[in-house]
Amino acid sequence: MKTRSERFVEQKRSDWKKLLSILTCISQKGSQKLTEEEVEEFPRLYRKTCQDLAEARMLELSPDVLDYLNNMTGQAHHYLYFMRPLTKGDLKNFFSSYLPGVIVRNYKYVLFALLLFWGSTIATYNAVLQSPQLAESFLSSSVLHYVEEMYSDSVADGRTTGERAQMSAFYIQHNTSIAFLCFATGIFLGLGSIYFLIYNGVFLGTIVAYLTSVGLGPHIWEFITAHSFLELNAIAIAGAAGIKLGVSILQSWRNYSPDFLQDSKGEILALVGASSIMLFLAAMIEGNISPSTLDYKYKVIIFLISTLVVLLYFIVLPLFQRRKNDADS
Amino acid sequence: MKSEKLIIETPEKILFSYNIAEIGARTAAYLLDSLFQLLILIAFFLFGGLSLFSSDAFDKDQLLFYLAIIYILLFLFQWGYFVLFETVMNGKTPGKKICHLRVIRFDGDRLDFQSLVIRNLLRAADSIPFPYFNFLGGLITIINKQNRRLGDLAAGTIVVSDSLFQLKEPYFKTDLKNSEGKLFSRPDEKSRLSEKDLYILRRLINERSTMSNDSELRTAKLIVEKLKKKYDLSHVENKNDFDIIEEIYKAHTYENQK
Repeated sequence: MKTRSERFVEQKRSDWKKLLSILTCISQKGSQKLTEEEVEEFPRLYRKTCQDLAEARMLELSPDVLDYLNNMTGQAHHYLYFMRPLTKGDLKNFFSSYLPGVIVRNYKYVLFALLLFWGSTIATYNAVLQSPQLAESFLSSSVLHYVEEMYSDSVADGRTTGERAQMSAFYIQHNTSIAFLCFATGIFLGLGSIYFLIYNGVFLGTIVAYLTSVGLGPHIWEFITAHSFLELNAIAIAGAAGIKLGVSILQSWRNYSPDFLQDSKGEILALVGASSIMLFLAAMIEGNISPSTLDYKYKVIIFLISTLVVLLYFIVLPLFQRRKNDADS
Repeated sequence: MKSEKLIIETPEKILFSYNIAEIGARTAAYLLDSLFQLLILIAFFLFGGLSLFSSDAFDKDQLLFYLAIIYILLFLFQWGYFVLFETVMNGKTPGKKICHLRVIRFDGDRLDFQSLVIRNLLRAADSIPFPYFNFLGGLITIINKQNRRLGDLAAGTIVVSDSLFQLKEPYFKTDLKNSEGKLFSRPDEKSRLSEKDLYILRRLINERSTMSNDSELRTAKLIVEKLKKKYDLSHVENKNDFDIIEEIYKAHTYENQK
């Protein structure tokens, strides 16, 4: 005494049971615990269940049968198409060729972000330097007083290792958060990144000009020189990643693609990665060297070395690799 | 309108659907994950703190060094926790596992590392305009038809409810105690009830003893009235509603031979 659905289930259930036991095993103990036979059977059972689902739909069988097969297919699909694990080769390839080339490959975005950031910094700096009362319209007076207080003394000396480590750690956390925000808000069609690039530029320009106008110029230059190249350009590169994020979304709309980033994901992440690495190095310098009593000319040397390293790794190396590739092919 | 299902088409050209995760479950998973992050951090504080204070050479410098490590850990936790677990656990975090949730690609492709990093980096944009409070991110998730977060939209991912735990094998056993199989013979192909209708009848039969509430019984009565009309059974008066259902169900089943 059976309905059609029941007869269908009775005919096919032995394969479903096998598939279910494989799925349960993977989800509870991991795929390594499967027997060799089960590993071989898995794809076949998956395809079989897919067929059964299609057939059950065609026969318009009972909803509980359809649900059961649907869920089983979904689970099997999920475990069959497991995430590809990262390999050592991926990592090596990323650092040796993919990452260094990212700035050159995306030079339009990087130049645009640099222009926005440094343009607003320099414009604000000049404006505030000419009429210092402007500073209060950009930043609240409490922020200005705080900064003035901070830089009232020349860089403090006699910091312990602990203090330096603590400052470096704080700068890693603080600056990377700023960079990530600058990047992530690029999801609003790039507008968020543009806003934060200009905002950070105005902030920086105002503070440096304000301190210069109250006569503390040498103090701030002494502090920021060593890490400035790495830190400030890293923020701009994070912004470039955000702008690329926004532009990629616009492009996907033009192509009617529901997948917003498609192929640009890797490029965007490499830009964020480049920014993070530079920020990490900057934080190390900012915590240990910038506040030290080291002679100013050594800080300038560090500034020059960091600039040179960045240019070599991100500009010269990829151009060299490209020329070599062209020559090879 | 919210959509409840996500339809996936496999390379084998088979369609199947996932249940899209509800906002309540996602919030619960997020809170659990935040709790785990906090607990691990507290554990580190206690462990590190005890070993520091118990050593004789405790000084301020060591404390600051220790604070530096906490800062870095905080930072790594904030950004690394979700990427790490979603990578290792194939789209799940401890909180998601407890709430039976999972991240998948919205097109059914294999999940990839890049998508996971993008979806979690964009958490920075969720907490606008107040830090550590996902105001904008929450709002967009609520507005989105498929409950996708900003990070999901950018990375092409979606959170679905994990269905293995709700996998119930179809249940066909029916207890046809009162039917004699005489009321009417098997209907022909045209007037047969669909398998979906039979599913409903099966459930009514199996749950008849537990049905107590009025609206349930009224629904059963409505169904019986419709069936009576369909099969021209208006002359049947002295039979219980459920007996009629049993008769009709039985008429739709087949003997084992064919």
